[in-house]
Amino acid sequence: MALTLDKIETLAPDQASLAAARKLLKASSWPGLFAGSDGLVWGECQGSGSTPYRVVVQTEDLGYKCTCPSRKFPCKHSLALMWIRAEGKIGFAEAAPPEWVTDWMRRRRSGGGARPQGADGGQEQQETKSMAAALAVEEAPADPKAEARAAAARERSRRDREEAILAGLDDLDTWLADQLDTGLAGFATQARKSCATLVQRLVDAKASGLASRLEALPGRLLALPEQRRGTAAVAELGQFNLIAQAYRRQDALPTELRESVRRTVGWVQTRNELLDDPQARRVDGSWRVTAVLSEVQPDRLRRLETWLMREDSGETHASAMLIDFVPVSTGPARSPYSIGERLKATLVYYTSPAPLRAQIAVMDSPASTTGDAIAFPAHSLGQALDAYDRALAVEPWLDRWPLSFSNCRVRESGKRLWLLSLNEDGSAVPLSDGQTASAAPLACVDRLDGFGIWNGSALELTAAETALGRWETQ
Amino acid sequence: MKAASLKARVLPSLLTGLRREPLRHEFFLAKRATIEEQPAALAALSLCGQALRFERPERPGEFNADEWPAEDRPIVPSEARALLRRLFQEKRITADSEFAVACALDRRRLRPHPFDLPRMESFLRKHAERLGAAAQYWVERETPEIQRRGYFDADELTPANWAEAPLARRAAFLEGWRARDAAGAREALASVWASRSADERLRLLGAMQASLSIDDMAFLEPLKKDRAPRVRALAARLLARLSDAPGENPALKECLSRIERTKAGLLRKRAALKLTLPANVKEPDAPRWIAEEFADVGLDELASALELETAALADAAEKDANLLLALAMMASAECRWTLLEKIVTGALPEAWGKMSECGWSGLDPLSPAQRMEWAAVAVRPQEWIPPAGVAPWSWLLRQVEGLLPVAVMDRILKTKSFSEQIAGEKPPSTEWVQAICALCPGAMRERLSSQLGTLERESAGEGLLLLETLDRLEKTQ
Repeated sequence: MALTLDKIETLAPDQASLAAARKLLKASSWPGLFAGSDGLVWGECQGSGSTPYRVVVQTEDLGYKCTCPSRKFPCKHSLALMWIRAEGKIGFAEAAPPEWVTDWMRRRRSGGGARPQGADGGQEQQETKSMAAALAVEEAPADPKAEARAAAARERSRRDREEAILAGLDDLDTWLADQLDTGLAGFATQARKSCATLVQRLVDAKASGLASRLEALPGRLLALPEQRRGTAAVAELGQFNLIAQAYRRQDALPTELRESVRRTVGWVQTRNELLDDPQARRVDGSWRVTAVLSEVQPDRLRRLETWLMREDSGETHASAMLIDFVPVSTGPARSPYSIGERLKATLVYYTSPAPLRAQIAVMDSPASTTGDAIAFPAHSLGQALDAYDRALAVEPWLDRWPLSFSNCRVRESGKRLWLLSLNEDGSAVPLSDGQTASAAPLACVDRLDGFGIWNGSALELTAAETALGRWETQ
Repeated sequence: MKAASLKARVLPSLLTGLRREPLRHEFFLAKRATIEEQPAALAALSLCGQALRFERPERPGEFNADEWPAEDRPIVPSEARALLRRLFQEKRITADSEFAVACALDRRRLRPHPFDLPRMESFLRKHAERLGAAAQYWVERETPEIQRRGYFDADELTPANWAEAPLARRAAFLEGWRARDAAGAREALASVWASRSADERLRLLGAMQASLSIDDMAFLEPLKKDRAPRVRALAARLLARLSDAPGENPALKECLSRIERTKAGLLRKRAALKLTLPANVKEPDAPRWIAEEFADVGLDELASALELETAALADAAEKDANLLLALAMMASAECRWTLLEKIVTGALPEAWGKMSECGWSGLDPLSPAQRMEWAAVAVRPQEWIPPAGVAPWSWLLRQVEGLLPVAVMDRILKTKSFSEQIAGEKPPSTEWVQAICALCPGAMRERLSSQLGTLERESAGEGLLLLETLDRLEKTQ
């Protein structure tokens, strides 16, 4: 079945999808476009999130797959890829299909490709769709008055929000003082009930970042051994006060710290704003995926984290974290990346004294599987912890921090696994309780180099290179 | 104020509550010099909290003793490992596929990659004995030390360590030992007999069939009163084989009371036997009743009691399918292949299907080689093949411990019934496909694969992956 524009038109779920697909027809939206044998084409399309969507189309039978969370089938990315292929204006590089493409091919039912809607029942289409109409759509000319009104409204809204947040922080102060009066030794046991009211108040005050952080606090405390919950409550609640104080005095803070505290409280910098920021730190190079994490948040959004480590950087810390939020019901359950994959890209970091979260600005070559071992920097665990201390010193509300290390081993003490440095520094960190089973086989190797995410009390080990090959978190 | 003194002086107040233990005076002095615009209690909270965050975990004073066992088996090569991981990720993988993989790993003396053990937890729990010492350690790591069985998987078994090995290897070793030194093997078995489970006793006693002699009687006699009926039955059969074995067999008496002997034939009268089932045993339950009733009876003693040659039993029972089934079970358990062949080529080709209906376990004491011989005789696909369902194939898979003889599989693939199940209107279930794939020996996999290739992935996906995995495991050098 040859791919034609007519067929794509028939396949599109509605006119809006075609119009949206049209905006993705430029080569810059597709860091890489590839074609394999048997009519297979694939590519990565930069969406609004930090992680590009992976799109594959089988042009023979119009089967398609995209990692975006759209509820429309096919989505605009799949339609755009088909469209580009059918038009033939942009070249596709010949390549062997990467693993995510072969995996899709393997899993799809033979002959089970998408059937063009209307192929045998065009009358069912309730809406007439046309590529010509999509192409004819032009951006409406901007109205200067309307824009000025919108800008004024935005400024009013911003001021209102600032006031609301400050009022919310006052409530936070009062709540913290009440907790201190009672004492924090038993805080964890009644934390859910105690936090719930203030969380609601912070949501009302539009301090959504702070609200989310507080909402997650009871779970974090209860995950700790009972004897450590009291001091952990002191450390955690202390940060809330630090954030509140810093926010109130943000004008006196250096730019990096001010941006960091505003984001922590709940202000959002969009991807486009970040890319347009000339001051934002940009780092290009070859990156390896060292962790992929997926967590469902209380607001029913899934938080997908992809952690990257720059190769051959020689720095103690050369990591970046990409975050995507997708709906639990429709989005993918995990990051499209796999541990060990290599990509070449320029990342742009959100402004912070300890930059970590980033977006992909330019993808030079998309992620591909490689058999090479990940070359973790030759730093000891102690040096990695020193880097954490330095980051914590400049960004006191730092939540988690990547540790890459070499020359360690895993051993069991009681019911807990520990990562031990084999160097003279003798550093040791406990692994998170959730890894007691999955990381236990690492105890059978004498040495490992690896990567993990440290939250100040436990390390979530995500990847390790050993004499038995690579270990990855499950 | 330094972090240590801050922690010592302020933390107790924060934990106990400022109402009961107010902050001490010196903190206010220190605080006033640094931070002036917030309540002292909140400043204390942040300072103390941040000081705590810079504390590093204290390295434990002691660690658990290294328990990972030394392992002789090589780890599965990377290609086979990738296939295994894919297979175990499939949601619809059946117990038959798992069993086939465990048998294949055991045959090649391979072990799963240690990093994959957490992903295979349920598989390991079922088949740890076939997967090496590390797998046995893994499934027992949560077991209190006092209850652990220990893990053992040495390449070479010796008279000193044989009793610790997995059951199948123990039985095989004992059988070889019997051939070399019958008395020594018997004494070794007697020394560990009391501490063994019923299954172990049965399997090890089965190994005693090699080089059976009158010298074994003193060991076998007490076993007629063993706690396990199956052990008692096997001991009785072994005793019956010994020419001067004395005594009466109550089970035989019971069976004889239900067998009617008559004459048949017009010109030439010959013996005819008929088994009468108890009134409360309906036809579907007959195989189970027969298996239990005839478990303690030997072929020779039955023939002798009926005043017939053993070889003539099948002819005499040819009109009675139930009695033929009983004879087929006895012939199978005693490795009397000629008699078994006579039964299954004549009146009862579905004998193995009926054995599977009651989950008959009479082949347990047989060695793997004997089971393969049994399969070559008992499974006659050109005459009978299970019409539907996976249960008979699953049972057969466990009897042959993995693979059917090539000739048998060849005949199965050629049968019309098999082709119809593949090409029928309703596609076969993945369970059925996986059971067939699990039974397929290496030489026949390509053919089976091409036959299954016509099916949808829904039916054949896991089966084809299993074939590929088994093939890769068996081709490992």
